[in-house]
Amino acid sequence: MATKVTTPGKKSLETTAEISKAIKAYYGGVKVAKEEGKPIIWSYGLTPREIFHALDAHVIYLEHLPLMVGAKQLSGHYIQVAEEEGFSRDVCAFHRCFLGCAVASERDPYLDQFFVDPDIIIATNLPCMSESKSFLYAADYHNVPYYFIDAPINTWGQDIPDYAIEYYTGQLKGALDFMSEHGLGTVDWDKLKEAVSLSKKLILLWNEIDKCRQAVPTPMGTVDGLTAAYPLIQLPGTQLGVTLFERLLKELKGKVERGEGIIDDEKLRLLWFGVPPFYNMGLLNYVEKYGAVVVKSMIEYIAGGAYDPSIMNPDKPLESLAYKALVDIVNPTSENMVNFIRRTVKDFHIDGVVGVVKRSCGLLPGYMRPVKDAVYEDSGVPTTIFDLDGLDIREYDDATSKANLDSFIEALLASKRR
Amino acid sequence: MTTMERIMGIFDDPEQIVRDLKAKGKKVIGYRCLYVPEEIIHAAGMLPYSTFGTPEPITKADSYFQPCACEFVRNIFDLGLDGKFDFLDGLVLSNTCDAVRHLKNMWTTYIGSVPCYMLNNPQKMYDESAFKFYRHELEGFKKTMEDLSGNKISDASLRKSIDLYDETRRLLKELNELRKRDVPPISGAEALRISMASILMPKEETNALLLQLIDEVKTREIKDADGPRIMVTGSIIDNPTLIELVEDMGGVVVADDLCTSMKYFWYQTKPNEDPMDAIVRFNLERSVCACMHPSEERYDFLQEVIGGFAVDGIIYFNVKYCHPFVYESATFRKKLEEETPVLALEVDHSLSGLGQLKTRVQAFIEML
Amino acid sequence: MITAGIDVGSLATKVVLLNENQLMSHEVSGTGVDATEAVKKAMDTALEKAGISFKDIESLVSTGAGKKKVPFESAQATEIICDTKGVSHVYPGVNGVIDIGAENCRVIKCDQEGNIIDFALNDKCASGTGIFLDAMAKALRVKPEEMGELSLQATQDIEVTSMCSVFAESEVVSMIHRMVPKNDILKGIHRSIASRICGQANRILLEGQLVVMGGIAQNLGLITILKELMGSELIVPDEPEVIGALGAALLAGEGEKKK
Ligand code: SF4
Ligand code: SF4
Ligand code: SF4
Repeated sequence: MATKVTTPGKKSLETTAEISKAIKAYYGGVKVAKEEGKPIIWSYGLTPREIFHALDAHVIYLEHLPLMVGAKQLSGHYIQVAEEEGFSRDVCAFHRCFLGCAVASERDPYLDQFFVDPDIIIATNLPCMSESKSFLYAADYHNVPYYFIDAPINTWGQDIPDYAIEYYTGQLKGALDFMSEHGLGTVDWDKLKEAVSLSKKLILLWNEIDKCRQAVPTPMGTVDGLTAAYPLIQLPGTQLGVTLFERLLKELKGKVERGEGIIDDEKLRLLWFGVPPFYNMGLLNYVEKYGAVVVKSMIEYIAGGAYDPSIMNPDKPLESLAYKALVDIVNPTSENMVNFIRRTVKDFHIDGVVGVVKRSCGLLPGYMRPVKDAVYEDSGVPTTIFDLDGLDIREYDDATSKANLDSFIEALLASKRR
Repeated sequence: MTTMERIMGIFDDPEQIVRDLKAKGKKVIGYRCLYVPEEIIHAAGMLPYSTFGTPEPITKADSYFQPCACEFVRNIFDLGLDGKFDFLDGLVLSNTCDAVRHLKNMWTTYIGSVPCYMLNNPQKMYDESAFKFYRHELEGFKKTMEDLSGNKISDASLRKSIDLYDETRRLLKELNELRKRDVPPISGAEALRISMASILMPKEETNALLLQLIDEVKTREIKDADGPRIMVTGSIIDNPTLIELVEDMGGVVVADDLCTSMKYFWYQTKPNEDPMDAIVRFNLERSVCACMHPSEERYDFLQEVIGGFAVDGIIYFNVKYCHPFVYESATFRKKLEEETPVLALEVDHSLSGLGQLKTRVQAFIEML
Repeated sequence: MITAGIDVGSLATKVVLLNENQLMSHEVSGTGVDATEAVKKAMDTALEKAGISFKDIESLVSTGAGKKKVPFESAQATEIICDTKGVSHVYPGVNGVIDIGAENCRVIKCDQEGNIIDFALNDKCASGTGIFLDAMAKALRVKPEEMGELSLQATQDIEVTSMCSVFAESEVVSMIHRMVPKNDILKGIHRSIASRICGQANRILLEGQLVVMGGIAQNLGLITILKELMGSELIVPDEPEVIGALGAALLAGEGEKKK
């Protein structure tokens, strides 16, 4: 009975098209590096991207690749492959998809453009511990050395003790030394400093972009936002990332000045919490028929980006990165996440939160209830929660998802009329 | 009443221990799980109490956790919401997996009656910087326990607690060695019951009982058992039903890899001048479960047990949605299977759907 | 003002006609394969009963899975809104609604004024709904409408563990082979559905005084177990299946949804 009608998301900005090209170019570059015999790193989780710039490192980010495969609606196939290898449906669809890509006997031409086998694996338990074990399988399968960066969880709030910074700094240092020992050359500290300073620029720009998006009507919804956030995933510490964000900011500023929204009559502003359906981003445009816009999504921060830029000090590069990893919302402590969503709801003038539960995620579903309660208590803004796996198209049911959105939006409109 | 019967009695009503002690004014600290050093709680004059789950279906917790959080954690939270842990003076959790991390947050937000503390243990073993970090965390934890109990913890008192717990672990291991025999004098289900009762009881009492039990068991009359020798592994198993199921189907459960059983007592602390350091090393130089890195050590442990206990087949009972174990077992399975057959099952912590499990276990045992 | 509410469910089509929010007539009939035809017929009957003609209707709202098949010009609304409207009109002050239809199960939490606080729809799995019961009735060779009564005569508790209808069916078949009494199996089936619904209600912390509606609400066996599991006071209206259409008709009267 499940209906499978999917449509790609409708993007409205010029810069996001450019960013899409940059993504392809990035992975193309990795492929070329492999052909030139350079060692390729697979990085699991949120290893701070900046450290790789201290070395001549070519990196594939394993949680990102499935998004691209997913957008082409190919994820189901690779997920299936992983399941045939013995991975349960309960573990993260991103990891299943990635493992499937890794072990598939044949890859389709699209994936083949980007996919290269690893020479080293650098893994970490940030943002989620539960999935950090999936790299074991890959390391075993490809028989390559791996290093595990242990990120402590933040039990301290904003007041991080020195010993925690020291620990995480040590872990990053360990990873750098490890890569160095495994043929990636010597660590260039100046380059690392420069990366941290560029990373700071990137986040300052992102904050300004966010300011623009707070405008009513919003000049950019999350359909564009998810592509736009790509530099946060892959390009922190690069000039390219900064340049792309500068262009985006300019485009958005123009739109705000002209009062251009992404739809004509913006009546409702929604926040998306959880993984959106990457194989069917059209679902986010679906709500537009009610005059609703998905203004923002928490997943734009999947690789971090919700922290105070003032903590970034290029003279202390590793410490800065440690600090960032501990206070950012991707560090799995619900206090940070809940407070962040609270702020977002206020700053972005959100009318309702759509929380989607990806059952195979060990991390995000746990936030649903605390977020829902906190947001309601704070601003009286309701949250609807329903099941939707953003990557595994086989689990998707269009009718049920739309029924949930319809019901939620009607209830929102009814309460607006009151 | 035999010692065995006494121990089984404790298992059936674990809270009796607490009732008596609480009546005498002793404080009780719940903990989950092995990375919380019981010794520190004990040295502060309190009783560390392992919070096990029950096989009840989940009710209220479902509006807090989504159904995809591991059922064990949802079960503990359910019991907490129901006030079943209200007798505790505090609950200490350790940083093991995302489910437990959320449990901490949920507990603090929604259950006011019992304060909850998260011990931020590293997830990396054999790493100097991890030792250092953990030591800092333990100092903070020690302070918290001192404040809660009103008692100072001296090096000497901590040393004494460590010795006491080491003795428990030693005795349990001694008893467990008997399972290596061709015909083990205790069944797998009994072994789990004994181990869980020993975890729950005050160790002073446990040790005395275990001494008697070892004597009793050595001379016990035993029925022949000629079924295949099974090792059980997987996420937490805090109920003997699954082991019984294997034994009912003719398997002889001789060993396991469970944090409620062999992994609890397999290791001893190493001699160390500084008792806090002894604990640091103890916890970060043994691999209790799939939550820790690296995993090679766990694989070696499995190998050692397979050889030592003459294991014919391995059964994985992974709690549904327990991600660390799912990945690890998929990785290990391939290698293990080269020599020893493996059956990997996913189970509900509430033990529903036993019928289907039974069929698969039966088929596996018949194959062996 | 005369208003109409049409609720096109996958099994039954319901029409309610109101005059100044007072009931004029209502009609329930099978949806069959041609929903459009079913709506026309139900509407004709309802009009006849009320003694009015179609052009007397000033405003019209349709709802239900087949609302797009309604052949008249009408506004559309989700079941969530219509259910809540209908229930709080008939039972002002209740805390929520459980609507068990043929293919869907909805739970709604509302405040004293009948505003929606929260809701949850079942996922795509049908194990807490009417078709699941129908499938089981078939497997057991009993009439669907008798299932509830029979289950109340059970003498022992047995567990149907499979939540998925495909597996549950084979589980039930194997019970029949093992000569487990039918009534006991039926009780087990009802318990499994009830616990599923209860789980859904738990997700939004539904408690207090609740109205159970939808076709399945007439199944006394299910209601009995549901009461026991939820510990809530459950009210079953005399005609639980028309509440949604009533809500739609009331909504039509609110002015914004003119045809
Ligand atoms: S946070 Fe969730 S979705 Fe992301 S990698 Fe971890 S388990 Fe997967
Ligand atoms: S399996 Fe690991 S995390 Fe789970 S209870 Fe046991 S020791 Fe703790
Ligand atoms: S069973 Fe697995 S997921 Fe659950 S608490 Fe233990 S380690 Fe975590």
